[in-house]
Amino acid sequence: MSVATREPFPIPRGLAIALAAAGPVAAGAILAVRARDASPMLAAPVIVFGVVAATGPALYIASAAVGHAPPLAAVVRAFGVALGAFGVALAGLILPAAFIAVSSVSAGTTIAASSGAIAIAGYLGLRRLATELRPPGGVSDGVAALASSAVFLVWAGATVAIAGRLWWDLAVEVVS
Amino acid sequence: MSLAAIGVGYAVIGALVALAIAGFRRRLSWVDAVLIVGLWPLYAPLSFARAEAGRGEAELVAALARAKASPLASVLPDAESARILGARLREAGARLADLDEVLARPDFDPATAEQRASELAARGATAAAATAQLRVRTLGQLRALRERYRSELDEVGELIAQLVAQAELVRLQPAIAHSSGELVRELVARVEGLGDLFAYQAAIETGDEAEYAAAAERSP
Amino acid sequence: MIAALDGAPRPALGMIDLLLRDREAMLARIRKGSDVAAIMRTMIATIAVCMAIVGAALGSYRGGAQIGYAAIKLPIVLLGTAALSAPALSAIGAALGRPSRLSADLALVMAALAFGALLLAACTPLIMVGRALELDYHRMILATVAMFSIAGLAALRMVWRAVALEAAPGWRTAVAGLCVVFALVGGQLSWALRPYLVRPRTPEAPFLRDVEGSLFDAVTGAFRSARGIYWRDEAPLRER
Repeated sequence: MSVATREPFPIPRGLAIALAAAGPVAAGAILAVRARDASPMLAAPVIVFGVVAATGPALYIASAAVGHAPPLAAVVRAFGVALGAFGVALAGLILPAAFIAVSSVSAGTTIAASSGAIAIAGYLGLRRLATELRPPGGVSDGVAALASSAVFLVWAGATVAIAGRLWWDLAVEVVS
Repeated sequence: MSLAAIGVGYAVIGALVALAIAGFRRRLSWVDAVLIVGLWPLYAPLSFARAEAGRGEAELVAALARAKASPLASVLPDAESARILGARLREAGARLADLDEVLARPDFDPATAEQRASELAARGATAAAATAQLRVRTLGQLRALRERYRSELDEVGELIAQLVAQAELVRLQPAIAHSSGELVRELVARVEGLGDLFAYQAAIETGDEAEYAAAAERSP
Repeated sequence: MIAALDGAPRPALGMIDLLLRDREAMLARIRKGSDVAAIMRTMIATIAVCMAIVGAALGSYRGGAQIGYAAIKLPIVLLGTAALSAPALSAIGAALGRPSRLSADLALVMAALAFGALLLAACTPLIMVGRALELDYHRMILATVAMFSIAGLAALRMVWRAVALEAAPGWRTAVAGLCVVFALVGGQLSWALRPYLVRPRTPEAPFLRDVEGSLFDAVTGAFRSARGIYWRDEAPLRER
């Protein structure tokens, strides 16, 4: 059953979106504490939301091109739910990541902890996006299903690569 | 950052969280306060959840306490009865939360169950389709039960609010105290009536709802 | 379905007994939301007491002040790890669409850890036997790791079974995520608060070792030591 037929989170949706906004700030704060430089706290949410905003339309266009595109409103809602999922997941991971980062001596551990939290939350957000975009009952045409899956995977890979590279450059620059 | 600094930072956050919870709930035992300071990621969500779940009972207790200080005191239930009513209200709130949680599960979706029954019937699996239809019926009963709990608790909530308002009015106009007894009797009857819902729920779970319905018709 | 369970509050010892004898009933109480706060308090106390006993037993391998040091540190390790990691179960599950109550999930994790702590406390006679037989340090370490592994797996099984019953989307990922986070945080916290089991010949056992790098650095160093690449000639001897 698609999760779209009921409330997407056990918390208010607005809170989930607020967590999505605050989460990257908190992840950037982990780097900021190590580097004694507040710029990661501003850069991290810009990276997350900026990359999603820049690449999101490409997913819709490519999905429509292969003949499997949910209505635009559904796609926008799916992105909202996925961002909420990202925020909720990051809320549960930021505390362990912060502890591991501040209790370690090496800068590498700090980068690994903050990057790991963002990466896992990002993966969960992408997984939720894939679930939300899947039509109820699945796609009957096998070729269309394969094509839409391929489109999503390529899009997800590109988005992760862009955001990952920007995050990595930020982390290495401020912490090392 | 040294372990000592991390520990101090953790404790400071815990202290702030404890203050926030104390401000929200207005009362915090010292055991709870120590646990919140030491284990706030675990204990703080619990404290907020307790505030949510116990709200119905807390509202009833607070309303009765306020009415006790007014000329309505003579028509209020005694302390033991009030405690029992509070426990029943808490039980009803917990059961509603249970029903919400169970009916949110994917395998308890009536549309999915209905579709499954239709598929089985179309395939000619009549026995399996009959069982699936039974499940559809049970899910419908659970949903109806949830709506009954919800409407009863909403009704009780409104009566509690009315009792609080009435207590203030009676304080200003003591002469109308005797006519407020009907409100208190209505509130008590509603909360006691939750026992019927508990019995109906038990009947659904044991499959005796037909007997329950027959017994309900026979009773005065 | 929703069984009419006895929701009457149980005393603390009754709850511990329920946890040992009938974990299904304990899980049902947690799911129902009966006395979650009381369950949480009892489980926290159980973990604190049991891990103090285990810590004292481990510390007795060297003896002296190490008994008290380990008895203080081990409860902090487990409770601290739980505090930092437990919310991950709800967070990861909620992200994937699992309907959950944070308080019930936290109580579940604490009950599972309390069960593991009780099993470890039951293993303290084995630790004392190792001490009595003067088992060498490395064998004691391996035996300790084995005991902690068994207790950990028992706790994990309890969480797995409870979450699996819901059949909610993303439950496997949520439990796996909890395990990963718990292992990383627990590893780092226990590393930061070491030592617990100390060589009897150690001249002066400190309450906490100096921070010499992260757990990752230590694991790397251990691999190098196992290949015969050491950074010092020998461990220091106790003064006679």
